[in-house]
Amino acid sequence: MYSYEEQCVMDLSDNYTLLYSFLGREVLDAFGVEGERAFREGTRRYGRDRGQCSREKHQALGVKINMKSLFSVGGDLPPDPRFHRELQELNPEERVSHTLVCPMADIWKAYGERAIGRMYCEEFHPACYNHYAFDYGHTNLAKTLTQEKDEYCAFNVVLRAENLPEELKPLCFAEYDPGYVEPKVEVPKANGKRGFETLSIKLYYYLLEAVQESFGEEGTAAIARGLEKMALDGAQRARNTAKAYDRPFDEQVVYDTYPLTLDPSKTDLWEGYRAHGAVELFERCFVPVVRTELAKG
Amino acid sequence: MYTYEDIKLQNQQDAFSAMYLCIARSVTDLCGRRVGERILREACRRAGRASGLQQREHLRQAGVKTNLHTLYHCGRDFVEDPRVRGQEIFDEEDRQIWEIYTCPLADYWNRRDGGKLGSFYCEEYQYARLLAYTENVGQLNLSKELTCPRDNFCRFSLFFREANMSRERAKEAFAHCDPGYEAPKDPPADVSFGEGIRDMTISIYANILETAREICGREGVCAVAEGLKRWTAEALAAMRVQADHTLCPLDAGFVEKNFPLPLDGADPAWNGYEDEARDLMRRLVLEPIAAELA
Repeated sequence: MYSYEEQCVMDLSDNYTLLYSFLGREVLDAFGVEGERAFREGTRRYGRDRGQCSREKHQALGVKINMKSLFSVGGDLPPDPRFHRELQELNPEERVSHTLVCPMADIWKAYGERAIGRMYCEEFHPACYNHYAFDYGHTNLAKTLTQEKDEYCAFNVVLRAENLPEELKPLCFAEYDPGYVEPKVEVPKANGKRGFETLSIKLYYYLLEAVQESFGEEGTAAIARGLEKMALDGAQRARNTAKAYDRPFDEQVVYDTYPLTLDPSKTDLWEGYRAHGAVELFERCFVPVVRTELAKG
Repeated sequence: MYTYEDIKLQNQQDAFSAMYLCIARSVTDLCGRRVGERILREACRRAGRASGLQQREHLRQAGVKTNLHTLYHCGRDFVEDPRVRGQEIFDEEDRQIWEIYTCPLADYWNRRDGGKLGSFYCEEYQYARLLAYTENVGQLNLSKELTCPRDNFCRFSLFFREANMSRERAKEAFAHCDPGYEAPKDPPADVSFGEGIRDMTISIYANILETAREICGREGVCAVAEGLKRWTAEALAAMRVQADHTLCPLDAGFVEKNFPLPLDGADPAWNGYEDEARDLMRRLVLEPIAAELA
């Protein structure tokens, strides 16, 4: 049995993952392949944002922008105890790893949404990792747990020095930067609540943005329906955790298990992601559903 | 056990592998390890891009939908060596997934400590080919490759999603997006093995020469020329053994069936490539081989 704290991290992770499929389901049902087009685009924007934030953070620290840094300095995905990865190789040009257990793939499968999870795998990883490396990286993900018949994820993410323009080589590889001394940096990894809330806000924001661009008010309505459904599901999951750990089903349990804080004014993480009425829509469609469930007990 | 006909194809394939390795070694030795890598990767991309563009035009003109199924199953410009063993996992219009368990290219290069040089080809050629064919919409994932000491199979996963392309491109790619479309009754046939390996040999070589010249000037050309000389010696030695093993005389007829390039150098397959590429090949490879036969 996991501790309450571990269970909360897993809930945060699952709810962040389910945000994607709840919103995706509504958009696909409403708009078909055109919805998929917008959804994939939103996923890519989300990936590029994360890649760019990691790159800017690393540049500020003075570390080289390469695969070793990307996968060992900091990291914006909070750890989830269920992930099981086996690292095969990590050097400045390549990171090769297998993911044997992926809680994201597992929860999408459990909710019957593996196909939506595939979109995430196909779009997020290349957008994030390649963009981190100034769009010169190449993400190879030839086996994926969101794909039928695959038994693990096979990541082979590469940045070949000799595929870079001359001006980027010193930024990316110490061997092209004579005199470079690697700084000693200790960057904490993203933590549970704040880390997953950051990712959830960004993911929601970019999906909303892309869907609104394509479908206007109808797109917003689809996202709104998704928010309501994920609120209901999130509340139920919080209720289950409260029950399992003999705690009251109250706002604290929701805070502990759901990545998005019910009162957006209590967090600074929406800064930069308030456009398109994102906060207002969240407050209008998500928050009341959770509060109603809390009132039911 | 392979038939005599199979062995001839294998010999042609191995000659291509030898050419790539000889030139790659020469370029990395003489131009520097890193600059050589840049030359080889860029050359493989150019060759792959040319193949992808040509395949797309070929299929368009034949009225065939240009999707991933047709890229790998219709009117191909290259046919596998009989030693390739693999498994097709998904053969769909927007998804192609396969694994390769034995690859004569990787075998050849690995046995000669050339896996790393070979991996430049593996990483760049098919990827560039796919991007050209799909107008940069397709995705290619190669997470395992036999040229890597860590791996014991190649794993290719390619995607070309309708939702990632324009409606016009989707109509061109998928029959379900083009109501009333009728597939041609006689879709284009694959090239023969001999045509495929000949064109691949010329394309990879000519692109390395072009790229080496662009990056290193005449030194780059000299590096490629040195590689060609090494190849001539290796090709002659290999053909002597091959002829001996199959109880054949090493003559023009044997070379025609066991070597990827026609010895007269006047083959129209050279059209479209720069004159210097053909001249160097003729002087440093084709004529010396012909002289040896005489």
